[in-house]
Amino acid sequence: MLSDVLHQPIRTQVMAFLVNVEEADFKTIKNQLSLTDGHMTTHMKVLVNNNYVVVEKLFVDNKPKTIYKITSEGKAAFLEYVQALRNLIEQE
Amino acid sequence: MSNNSIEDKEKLEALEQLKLIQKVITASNTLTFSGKRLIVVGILLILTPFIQIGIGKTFWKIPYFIHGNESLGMVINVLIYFVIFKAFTYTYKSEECKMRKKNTMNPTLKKLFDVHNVIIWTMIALIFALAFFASSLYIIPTVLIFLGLLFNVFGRLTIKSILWISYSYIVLGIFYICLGNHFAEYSWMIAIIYMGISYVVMGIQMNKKSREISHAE
Repeated sequence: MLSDVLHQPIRTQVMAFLVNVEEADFKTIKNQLSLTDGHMTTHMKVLVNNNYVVVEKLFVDNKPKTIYKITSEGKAAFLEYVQALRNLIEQE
Repeated sequence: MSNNSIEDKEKLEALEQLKLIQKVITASNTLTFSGKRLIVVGILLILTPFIQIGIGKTFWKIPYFIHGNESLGMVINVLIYFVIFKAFTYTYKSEECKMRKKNTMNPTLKKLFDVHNVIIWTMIALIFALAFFASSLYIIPTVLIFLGLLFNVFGRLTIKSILWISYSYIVLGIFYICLGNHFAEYSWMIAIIYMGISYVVMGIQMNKKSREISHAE
């Protein structure tokens, strides 16, 4: 059974990106994956609520900055999801 | 809809998702390297033999350097290139620096860049050692083999074409060692032009790959 949280193209992309880089700010994820602010807010909320990603709010040069970090739970879930996709393809 | 067609649809969807994941990871690693910067460096490398012909016809005609000051002349010659390359590449600041600052780089790539700096400085020191204490004939093969090894590692984390270019550098480096003294006057020009062309090719490929991330959906 594929995870409903991860089996969604935007969330898959965000998780793949975060698995690779471990952490990134809102703007970087948004720009690199060509997402809209609305998409980002909606999908990041789902990932945070499922404890796959943690959010850290900082002030850099007096400007607010939101950083997303992948959790070990998120990493494990993502790897499990990738394995489930592989199994699905390989099954007769 | 039959069970078989539902299964096929699911399989197709799973395959698409795996492709998407692969694309995002490769593209985010590729973003570490600036394609534009590689193209600029490539063009400068292609122009290097012509710049050197110009330097030979002007700088090396200064009597002070013709009569016994070759070592100082060589250092100044290298400095001329350093200034030219710095000036041209300044506009395309290293993406690596920006990404390090933003902390959005694969941790393995981050470590690789640390090793990369050690390798580059070792290569520069070796070039000077070869130029002053051994044979300058081995400078080009050394550069090719060192760069070949470096690109081989980066190629494994980014795109396949870099991997093939890295093998060609290593093979060319070994070939140049075998070539020894033959065609020494022109062989370095061919090597530099080849490097330039391969940099441009890598730059174009990098740009293409990093653009793919925006069409990954």
